[in-house]
Amino acid sequence: MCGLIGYSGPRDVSEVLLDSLKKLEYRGYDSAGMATVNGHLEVHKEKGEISVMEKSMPWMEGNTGIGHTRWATCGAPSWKNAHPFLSQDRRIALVHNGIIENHNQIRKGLLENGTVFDSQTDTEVLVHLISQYHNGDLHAAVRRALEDVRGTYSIAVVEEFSDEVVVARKESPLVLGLGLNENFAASDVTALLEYTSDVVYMEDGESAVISPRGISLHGADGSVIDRPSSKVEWSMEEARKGGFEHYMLKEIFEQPRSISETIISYIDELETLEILPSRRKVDSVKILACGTSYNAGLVGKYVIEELSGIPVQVEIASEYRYTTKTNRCSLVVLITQSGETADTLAACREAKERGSYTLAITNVVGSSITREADAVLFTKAGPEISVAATKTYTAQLIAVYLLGARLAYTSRAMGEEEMRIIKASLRALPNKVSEVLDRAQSLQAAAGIFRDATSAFFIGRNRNFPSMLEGALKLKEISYVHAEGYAAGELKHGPLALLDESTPLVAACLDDHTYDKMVSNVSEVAARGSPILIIATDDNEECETLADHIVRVPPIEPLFSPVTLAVALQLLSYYVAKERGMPIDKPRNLAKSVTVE
Amino acid sequence: MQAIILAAGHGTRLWPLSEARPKVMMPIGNKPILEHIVQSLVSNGVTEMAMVVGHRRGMIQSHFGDGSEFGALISYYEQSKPLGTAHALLCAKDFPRGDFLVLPGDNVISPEGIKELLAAEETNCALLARSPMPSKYGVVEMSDLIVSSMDEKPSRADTSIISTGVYRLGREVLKSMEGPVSDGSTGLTDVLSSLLPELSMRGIITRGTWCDAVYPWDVIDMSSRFVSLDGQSVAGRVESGVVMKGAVEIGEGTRIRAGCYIEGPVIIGKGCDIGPHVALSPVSIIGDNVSISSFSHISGSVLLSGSSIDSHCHISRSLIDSNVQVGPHFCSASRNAYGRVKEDLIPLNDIGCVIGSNTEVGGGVSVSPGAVVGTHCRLRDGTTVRENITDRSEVY
Repeated sequence: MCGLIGYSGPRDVSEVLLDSLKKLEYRGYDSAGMATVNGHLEVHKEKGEISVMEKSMPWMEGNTGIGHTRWATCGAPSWKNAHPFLSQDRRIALVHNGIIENHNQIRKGLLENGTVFDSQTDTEVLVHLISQYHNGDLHAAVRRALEDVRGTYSIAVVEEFSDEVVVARKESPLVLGLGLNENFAASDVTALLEYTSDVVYMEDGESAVISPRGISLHGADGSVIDRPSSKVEWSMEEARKGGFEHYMLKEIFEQPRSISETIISYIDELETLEILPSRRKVDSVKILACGTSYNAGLVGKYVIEELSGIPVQVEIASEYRYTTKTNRCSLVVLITQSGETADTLAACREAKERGSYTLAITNVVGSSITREADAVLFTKAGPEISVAATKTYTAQLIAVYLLGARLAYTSRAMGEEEMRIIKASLRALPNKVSEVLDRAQSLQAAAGIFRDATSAFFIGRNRNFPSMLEGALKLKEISYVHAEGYAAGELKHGPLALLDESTPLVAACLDDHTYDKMVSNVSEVAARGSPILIIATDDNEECETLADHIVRVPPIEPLFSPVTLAVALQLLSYYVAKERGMPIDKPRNLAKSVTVE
Repeated sequence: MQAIILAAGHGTRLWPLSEARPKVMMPIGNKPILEHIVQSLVSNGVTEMAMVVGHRRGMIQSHFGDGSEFGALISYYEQSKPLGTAHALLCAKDFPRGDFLVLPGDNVISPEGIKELLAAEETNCALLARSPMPSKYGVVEMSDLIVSSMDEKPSRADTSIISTGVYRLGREVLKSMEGPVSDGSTGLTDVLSSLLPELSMRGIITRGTWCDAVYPWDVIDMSSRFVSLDGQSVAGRVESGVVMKGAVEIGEGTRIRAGCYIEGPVIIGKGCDIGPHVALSPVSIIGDNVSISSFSHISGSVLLSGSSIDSHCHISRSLIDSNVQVGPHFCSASRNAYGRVKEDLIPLNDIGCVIGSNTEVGGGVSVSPGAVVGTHCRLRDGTTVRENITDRSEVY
């Protein structure tokens, strides 16, 4: 997913582009750029967030231009791969979303004609192709070039000494905005709302020419289309949240999709995935991470040990850095959502120094960690806006399952048949998560027990223990209720003293080998009069007598319960924070990506 | 023109399929019914739409977002209690600025139907269709192209013309509806029917396709009717020795193993693992993340996401809902049979079975044509199922 913008009108174009790109940043933020027409074309682009581009931006004049913010899915983010792209004679500039499937074939043709390429991107092919067909009419050249192209796109093109922006779309969003003596095009309406609420939606195969004088919309054959504009009557925030009250809730509901995407990108070739040292046998694993990623790492410990029998250690990245240099570990796994977490990056360097093979699990293609580590496993959660991590956490869990299965297969702890069973379970996960989401109401009802709480405890055992740590972290983060996650067996080694009628307890009593022990731990607390919320599977009746409130999750193989449990706890924290009126998407004192040590 | 789509209903008649999703999100050809509607609207230039959603709104909203991925601008209105379609429409009464379209979110409608409504000169129009089962719908009588009466689910129908529930209305109709709705009328057809004298509503019998899934079996036929494929598009990996004929679509991350024989139209979703030696016959729709093991034959069937089919299964004209685990040598043959819905027996042509989500089907199980198995059931090895099975049952 990327975002693009085009403008032609009386305003200072660089201001308009910058401002609109910031609003499209949620579509991606690993590199950004713009081209303005000031007689000749001026181009400025930069790897990194839009603020990085803004800082280094020179004085760019002009009233017509195009801009782009990128979220790389293939081809690392770099200055070279950032949009816009220029034709060889620097007369045409282009930005593009989507994929040109036959770009290699077109590239071959262009190379024969002597075109020199600066990058390997499919987009660059497009700009040269348009340039080749340019015969005085940019719009005609764009239409002609698109006839040769197979794939999906939305594009915006400008040329020197012209105030026209030519745009076209096919299976990639693009909307036109109408103003007074100024007109716009953008990937979505949120980029435009500050300037206009009159929009015209484009359909597949259509192209349009935008100038201060107006907009002309054309069908694939060039015929003029007269389409009345629509009026957008909602605020920008509302638009981006797609009807959800907060980004966090939107992202919680996106999890069936993000989990499915992560599975789909690796499952077919899991047996041969190149994420392990090729020459050395892996006899121990160390996972290094911070915050929510650390909790994913703890789940990883249970999962990897259970599947492969290889011992796993999990350490907080900021602690590992300062430990004594012990023997090298054959595989060190770094988990970081942004790929920019300062402590995790430093830990990665330290691990390499100690002679370990490093594997990064991250959500951002081309982030710093992807250059530092020996191998990378990408989670496909897409950009996450809410500061509290939700869909990236469950995508990280999927990544550790994939890693566990891969390790077990290589070490022969698992054969073809076991692999087949694990894969089938993974494939069923997105729908299991949908089932939990379908029960959001019951979690909303359960949130009531935290109404006046100042402190809460979350307990679990075995692989569900880290999930409870994560549940407590989420509650702290967004509802500002002090919460502690504990291994259930540790309760009587201290914390039990803190439990009273005003301290709710959340307990995961799921169907696995620790179930009986969990029930007896909960009974101990029940005697202290704490309000008790039990998370149990559908057919469990025993817990009803113990709990003040019971939340049901669908039955699932014990190995995978951390995923469904995580989703239930995310919903719980969300509804607690909502009930207490907290600023859910932007909690105080916290930032999305922690780039300081 | 703007459109309001009523998407808050449960669709419980579609049991067991309605357990896993609201009816509007039922996949037809791997796309929810609601997405077919949005596409029909967008292709007619109706891009501004409101969806009235209910308590299962999350799944709908996370699919459509702000609509930009579908070329539309979608806003959402909540109907917090299921008080009927007329009430649902009033939940979005602030949305239209002028004339607007109303569509039930759980019927598939082709672009032609929308076009006919947009082309009409009258402000108030009802889109009508002919149905073999008129008494399941609002039965319509007309005089001189004007609707003279609409009778919702009458015990006896004198004509086969029914209301599709798709209307074009003037904004002031919403005001007139408020009275009857606050008096307790719930269905949109009923309320509009009581207002007919003042509306002078033009009836348009659509030439386009309109269809509704009344019973779970209908989804099988709808899927084949709405598959529009041309040629072959393969994003996944197809091993050598696979035969593909006709229109076949294969999603990314999917592996088709050697020896498979695929006769289109067939759609296979993303992340699937098919084969070796699996036969897929027309028209079959396989959802995302489905695995089918060797020597199974799937014919004219719909398999929804996350299901796994073991080896040597025969599945004909059947619907397997999401996350169903099917053991080896499962047999679901098809023939003309009766399906049972509560007390009614429904004659069905060439039909297999319907299996609800999350059910585990053991090895060697056989399910008789027309039988419906609920969700979360366990059919133990070697059992034969001859009649409907309720949710969460265990069959020995």
